[in-house]
Amino acid sequence: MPGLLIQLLERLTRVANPLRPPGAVAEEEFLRRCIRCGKCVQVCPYHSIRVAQLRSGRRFGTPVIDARRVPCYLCMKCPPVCPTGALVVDLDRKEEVDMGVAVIDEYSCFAYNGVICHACFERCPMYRQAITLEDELYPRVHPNACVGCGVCEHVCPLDEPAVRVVARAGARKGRKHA
Amino acid sequence: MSTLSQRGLQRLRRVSQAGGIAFLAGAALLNLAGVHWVVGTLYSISIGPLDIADPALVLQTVLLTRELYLPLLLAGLLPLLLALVFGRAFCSWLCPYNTLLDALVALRRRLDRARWLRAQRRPVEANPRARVQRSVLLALLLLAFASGLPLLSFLSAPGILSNQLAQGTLGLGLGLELAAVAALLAAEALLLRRLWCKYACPVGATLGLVRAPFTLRVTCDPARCSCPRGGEACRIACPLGLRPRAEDTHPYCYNCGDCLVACEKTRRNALRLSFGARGRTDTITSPGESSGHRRAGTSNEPHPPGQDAAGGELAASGRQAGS
Repeated sequence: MPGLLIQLLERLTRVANPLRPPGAVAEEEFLRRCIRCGKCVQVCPYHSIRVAQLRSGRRFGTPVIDARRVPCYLCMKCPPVCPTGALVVDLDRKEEVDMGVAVIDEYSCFAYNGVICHACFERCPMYRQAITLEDELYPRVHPNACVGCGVCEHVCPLDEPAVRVVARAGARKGRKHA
Repeated sequence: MSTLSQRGLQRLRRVSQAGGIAFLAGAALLNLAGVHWVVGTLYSISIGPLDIADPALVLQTVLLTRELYLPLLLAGLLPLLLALVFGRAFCSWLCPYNTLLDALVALRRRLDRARWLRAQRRPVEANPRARVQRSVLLALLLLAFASGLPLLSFLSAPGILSNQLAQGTLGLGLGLELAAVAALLAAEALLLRRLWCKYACPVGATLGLVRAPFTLRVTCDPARCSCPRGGEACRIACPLGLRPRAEDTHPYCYNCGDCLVACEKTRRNALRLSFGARGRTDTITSPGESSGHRRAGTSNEPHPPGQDAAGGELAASGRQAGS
């Protein structure tokens, strides 16, 4: 019975997986594991992590990152404070973060439309690894190196950012190569 | 037992209650300034290297994840150990929900004492059975297990209040859950009933699960107890509507000590907070019920002025030198 209710709730609030703090385990497990204590929110020096409100349905109370507003700067302060392992606590190298992957919309991106813009390339914390410039003009994402921090989405000069981070879905241990 | 008078103990409790909220607010302010010595809420808090977690949520997480995550289990240990020694003292000494309710009820009591007294005099035939509170906790845990949602987190009033305090301080805005707790608080203060703390709260219920022979509790010395049935000063004082002298108040009693102050006012000093049952009285579950324990002259007067010299000394028979 509660299972049915949850399914209904989920259908009503069906949205793409939100971006989680670095080290988050796979979404379904994250929802079971996170006790909504708010510690990761409190230690985040940039206020990147916010708390999902009631309208997010069953995600209510969980930590989410709206990269367009404030991205994750990969300071790695939040994973160690998680009491339940919803964030893999011993994650300390930012290269191992696997929050999502940036996707560039080539139809709206300045660079692909004849305007020289390197904003995402220049600000990417995985410099020259996650985003490279093809022909010294066109930004290209390398999903294996991209950690999904969302700095590119944050700095994109377009009103509707041409690059967005898609949270990684499915089985994931919050950590690359592990 | 102690050199502290009951009123002194109550003052200390008020300091602790206010201090608890001030501590959380201070920690949030420090977080805002980038200092993270203390991080967390009453769901889970880290004080320096010490990690503490609400044992109710530990239970819930074990059920939801079907896994024993050692750091979490360890974090839940300290509150349980404290509860083993001090009973549910967290509720009466630290819980911000209970603190706010205490303040609101004290306000109502000051504004309309007659109404408060009427509410406190609601007849209590017997203390509720332990299994009522435990069934609610079990039902919540099962529901959390079935739904895969951390229901207990959503129902922890102290957790929500502390979390909202932190979020408000950090300027992250407040949520609807604060309104829900405020509504509950208002309802309980208005109706002068503490049903949440007594029956529904998963935090208190989990702390009430642990019990040892030496756990702090209110005990009654029937030889000193003299209030008439129905007019017991301790029962009128009890914020939870329990009968403190019945000694079967576990796991409802949270050792706030209001009954002891009332008892002290009658100058009988029959009630005491003690670690474990007192040797000679632990078999008597309802002292004062049989007229044999009553002292003549005090049975109709809950506040016998100056009588404790005569009756009290006789009853105490030198066994208990008092506070």
